[in-house]
Amino acid sequence: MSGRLRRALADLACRTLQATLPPSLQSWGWAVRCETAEIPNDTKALLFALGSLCGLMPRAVASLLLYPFASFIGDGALSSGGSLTMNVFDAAMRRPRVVGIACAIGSVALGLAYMAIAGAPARYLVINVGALVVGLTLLALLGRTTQTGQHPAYWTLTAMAGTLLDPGKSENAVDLAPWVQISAKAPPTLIIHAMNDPVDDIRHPMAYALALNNAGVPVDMRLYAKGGHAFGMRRTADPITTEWPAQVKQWLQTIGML
Amino acid sequence: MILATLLDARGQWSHGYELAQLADVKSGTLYPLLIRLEAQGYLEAEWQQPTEGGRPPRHAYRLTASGVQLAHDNPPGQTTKPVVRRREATV
Repeated sequence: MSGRLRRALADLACRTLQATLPPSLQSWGWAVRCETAEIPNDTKALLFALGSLCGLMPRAVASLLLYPFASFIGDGALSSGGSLTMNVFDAAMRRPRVVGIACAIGSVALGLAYMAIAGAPARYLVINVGALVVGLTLLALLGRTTQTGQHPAYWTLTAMAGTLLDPGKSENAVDLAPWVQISAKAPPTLIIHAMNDPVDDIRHPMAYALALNNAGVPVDMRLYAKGGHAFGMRRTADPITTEWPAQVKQWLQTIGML
Repeated sequence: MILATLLDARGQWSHGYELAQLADVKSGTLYPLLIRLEAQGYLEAEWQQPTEGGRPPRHAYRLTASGVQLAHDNPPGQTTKPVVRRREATV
């Protein structure tokens, strides 16, 4: 790479940095550019410019992403020149309701992403978006009266938050995802599982077995304390590895296949 | 390390590239630190006009009184002293 090209790339890196930095940090963009120009060695100048770009880019991109919310989260929060974290923190302290709404939208978005990945039907996604809309509407209605000092609205909001915090299920609740339906035509099923399976939680086969049973499908289940995931024919100290083939044979005889 | 290097300057102005060399840090580490130090009032920054024509101005830095105190309170650990000889920034 020729010296002129290296110099041109260094200049390009500096200009990119300047174009990305928020107005409050523009002087630092110029500082990097002028400093790079002062370095006599072309390679070192290029490395200096690229290093600065990489170091400051996260801050610049974060400012760009937050810029549309600048008027929303606080007056001049992003132009005061302080550290970004402190600015966001200060703005959050001043506008707790905005933070709450942002958290609600974020959590619903994460939930939608999870359900989309898990293959939930579209109506479940719509229901969750609807819940967010209902929540925001209630907040808009009740929140306004709270500002005028009506305490019942405050307690209503607290109670609503409380119901959200209590999922109403214990840790060992075993249910299939609500959109998974088990057909009564499913074949007789044998489930062999180890409690210490690190991949598939023991609640999954239990939920499956209960759902099959509810649908009237015969289910046989053998559970072991140890065995891990994907135990096979290779013998280990765990009884599951030696016992399961005979259990399959016995089960096949039970359902009349052998 | 940056603080120690700035403290070594004893109130003289330093420049970015020089600081990066003396403190043995990359520019990507240096500038975010300088920005934070300046925002918190530990660092003073000024633009210096070039002594000869055709050269760009330079951004120069030195510790404020609270910055000197901060540097004294936070001496660098068992790091080796940089071998590069210090060259004072020219105004």
